[in-house]
Amino acid sequence: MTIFSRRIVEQIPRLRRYAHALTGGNRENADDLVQDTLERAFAKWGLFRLGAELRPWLFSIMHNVFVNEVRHMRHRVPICSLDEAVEIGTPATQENHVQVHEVLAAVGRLAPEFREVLVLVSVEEFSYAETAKILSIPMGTVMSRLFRARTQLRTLTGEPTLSDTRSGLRLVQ
Amino acid sequence: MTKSQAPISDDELMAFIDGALTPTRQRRIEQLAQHDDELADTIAALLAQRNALRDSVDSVLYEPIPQRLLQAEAPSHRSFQRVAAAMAWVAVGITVGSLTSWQYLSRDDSASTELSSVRHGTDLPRFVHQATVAHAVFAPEVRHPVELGTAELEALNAWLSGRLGRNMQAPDLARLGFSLVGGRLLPAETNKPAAQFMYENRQGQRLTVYLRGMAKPTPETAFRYVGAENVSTFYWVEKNWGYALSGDLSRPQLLEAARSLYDQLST
Repeated sequence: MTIFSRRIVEQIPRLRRYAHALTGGNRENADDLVQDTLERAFAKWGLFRLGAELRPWLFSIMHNVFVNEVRHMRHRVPICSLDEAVEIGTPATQENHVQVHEVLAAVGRLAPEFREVLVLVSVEEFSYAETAKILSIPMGTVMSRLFRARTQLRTLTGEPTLSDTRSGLRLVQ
Repeated sequence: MTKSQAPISDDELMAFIDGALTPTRQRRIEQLAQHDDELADTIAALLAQRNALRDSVDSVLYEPIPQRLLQAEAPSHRSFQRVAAAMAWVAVGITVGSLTSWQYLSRDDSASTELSSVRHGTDLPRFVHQATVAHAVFAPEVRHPVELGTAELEALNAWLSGRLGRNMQAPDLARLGFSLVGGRLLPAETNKPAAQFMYENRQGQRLTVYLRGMAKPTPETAFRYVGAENVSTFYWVEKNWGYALSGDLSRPQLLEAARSLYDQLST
């Protein structure tokens, strides 16, 4: 086993966790995503710069695989817009208490580009700058997507939206 | 209850939630929240959401990795070098490398004829592959190297005995300077799960012992050695049980440990 490949194997659990969140908890789809990512990583590993960080590199590959898959599947995946989300949300019985299984299902209903930012930051704990690099988007876009993802997620899990509670502040468009 | 006098931007609120603010700005928001119930509620909800999201997927980190992911390879039209690289990645052992990679990796039929005789012979290469991959995955683990640690040694022994269907006592390698970290159950073959015990010395070097019932009657072996770049393995089969000891140690050191294990683990 080369050092490179051993380091990839070490990253598989985290790639699986990320894929799991991205697919809203669909195990089969999540592992398909990981497998495609690993295959691409092998096909492209000649392009990996020695000394570069492996983890962001692998996550950016997964991003590309995910975007491609979403593009092909968009017509089949139910994704809600913010407007729909407001209607779907049911009143919370216990505010601030988000059920674990509920939150994952709700993540799966966010727009894919919101899901990615939300999970990279909240679960994988990449910095905003790292997240921007992985997704090839500007930092400002990371911030606005993150805010909107969290707002929508609260609605989907039946909590009041940020725009409701913080009515004095403008929603980032 | 009043609206914030100095409103916080959305970006700043997010950075607060993610702990990305400077201590000064972090404190400023904490102070504002003390006088702004809505802001305090929002922060509490967002933090709860962040934790819930993490909790909802964290367990995936500690699941065994599905075989198909450990067998991932580059697409079939790649160059020979790439094939070799992919095989080296998964096959782990150099000695059994060609055998193992053929069995688990290659979709290339040209390689299959000369090796087909081994295909139905023994699951020893598969066993060694599983053992070395399990070592590669869990030995570097910092937070969760084992499922049950030494604090629950009795439970660990009882659990693994039950699941493996044999008397199972975690072997002792203290004489060689390695103390038990704990162990875990791993999927291997249908109705034949595997056990892994992990050991660590004072320098933080780790050894893993991997064993399972062999899938079909497998000839007994003497000690066999497989050395790769950063991990070496001694393995053997006795009475239809496969045993493997893996670690980044010199061959004589590893052999001494293997002998000690052999004495302790014989059924």
